[in-house]
Amino acid sequence: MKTKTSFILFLGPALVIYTIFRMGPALASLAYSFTNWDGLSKTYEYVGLSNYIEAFRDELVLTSIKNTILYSVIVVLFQNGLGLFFAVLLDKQWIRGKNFFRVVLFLPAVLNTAAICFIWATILSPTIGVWGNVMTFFHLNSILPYDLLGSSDTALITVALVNIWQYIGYSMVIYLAGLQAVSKDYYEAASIDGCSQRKMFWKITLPLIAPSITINTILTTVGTLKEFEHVYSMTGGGPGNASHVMGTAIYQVAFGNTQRFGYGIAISTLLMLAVCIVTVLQRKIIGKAEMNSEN
Amino acid sequence: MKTKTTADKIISYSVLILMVALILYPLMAIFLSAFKTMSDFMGNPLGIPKTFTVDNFVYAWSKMHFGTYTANSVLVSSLTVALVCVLGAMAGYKLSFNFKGNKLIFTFFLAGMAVPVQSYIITLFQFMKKMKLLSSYPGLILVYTAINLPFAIFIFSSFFKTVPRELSEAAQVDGCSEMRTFAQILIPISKPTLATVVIVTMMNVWNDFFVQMIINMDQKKYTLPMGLLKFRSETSVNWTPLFASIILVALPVAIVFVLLQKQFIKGLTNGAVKG
Repeated sequence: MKTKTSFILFLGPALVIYTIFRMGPALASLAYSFTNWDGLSKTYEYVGLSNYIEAFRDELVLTSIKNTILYSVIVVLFQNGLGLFFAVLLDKQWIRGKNFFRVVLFLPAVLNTAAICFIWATILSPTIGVWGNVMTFFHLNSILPYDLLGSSDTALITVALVNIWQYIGYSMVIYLAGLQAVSKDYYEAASIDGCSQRKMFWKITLPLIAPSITINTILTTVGTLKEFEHVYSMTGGGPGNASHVMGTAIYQVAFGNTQRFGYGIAISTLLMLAVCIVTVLQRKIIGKAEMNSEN
Repeated sequence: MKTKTTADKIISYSVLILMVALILYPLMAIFLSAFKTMSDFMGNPLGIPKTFTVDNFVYAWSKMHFGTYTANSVLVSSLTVALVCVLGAMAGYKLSFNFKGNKLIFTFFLAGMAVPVQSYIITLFQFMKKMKLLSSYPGLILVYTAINLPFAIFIFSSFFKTVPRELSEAAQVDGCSEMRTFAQILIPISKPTLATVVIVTMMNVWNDFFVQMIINMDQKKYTLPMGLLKFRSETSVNWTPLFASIILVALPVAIVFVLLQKQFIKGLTNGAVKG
């Protein structure tokens, strides 16, 4: 009896709040995705799979899926690549002012995303920004549009670059933690054997920091699949639908002028499935790679 | 390792300094512009202000209600952090024991981390409307608590698993109740974990605006990022006060970060590594 009360006392409050405000709605969402509920009326009908079928014919949804994949690939590749690059650089013993560099590189990651997006929107603004001067200076006018965020070709990639800019430091710090755990003895032994710097990186460093690569890849992939804040604050999905990702498309469908909640929930269920599948797959694939490198 | 040449050094430092410039320049440009008058900024968007003025901050703080938003941010994030720490630590403590159903409850909490907020926010909105919790402080705090609990429970339970059982058993033999043992013996030794939970939760709540866009329509209850979005959508040409409000949103976190950088980096990467 005594243990039972103690269980309720310790676990109860967390379970109740979590179930009511998180898992409950998440499970209920699945059911709503098969209805034509608009979120306002009391009645709704079951429409079977038609929301899901419509989603795969909807221009907005298809664009947003394509954009989400592109956004994810760009950010995962460059944020990880640059994060690893700077981690390796700042792990070198002869670099001075390591702490300063680390703090500066990490700083944007703790700042508010909306604030960061408005800062970049200001700098890139065709009317008051300074980006125009940079373009003229490097003679980029013939290659790039003047308004990077306002042109459908460049809007999404520009937002992705701001995302990378904000989180390079975060990836870097996770890699640094991995690098610092690698014993220096390996490098000494390898250099006695006449191993080149580049070979050491590929044959010693990379395999040994595999866990950091796993964590970073999963974090950035899941984070970018759920992307909403950067796109919403910098382009709002525009121009047209050119830079919509799934996160902003869901918001648009459910809370824009159409107010189709059932449909919005169906799209968000697709997103949730994508996140779960990608996480599981990545764990499997990278887990295998880690195993292989250990052999 | 030993064959570093001068060329290596020059290239490395140049790359680092270039990166630092790429990060600090945008931040500094906005920071300095927040102290300019509108005409000074239009004529000279790049440079140092001709005359320093704090009018933009006064305007943002009182006319654009950033004073209210700051108070709301402090209220909502501190109460959420308190709730997440207390409930997360208690649940994490219980889940660190082996008992029947332990794995099931633990998985139930962890599953939440894979479910994106977008996928249930609409249903949540509807539910909160029924419960009359929309646009209310308790509603916001409960939703943020539910979002941040899984991570807190996860790292608290892994921490408590490392604490020797003898410690709490000895206290209970001495007649200490379980709750007192927990509060007076276990919580004090879990300080590093507690710090991680505080930092991660604080950052999540302080910076969020997606959740609020849906469940908080009352401008008087907006937190800072929402106030910033509102300002930006209302006035498209009022640049210098906008910069001042960006500073008001970002500066508190930046200052805390620079002061506590070690704990911050450790806290956030702890979160990443274990989450």
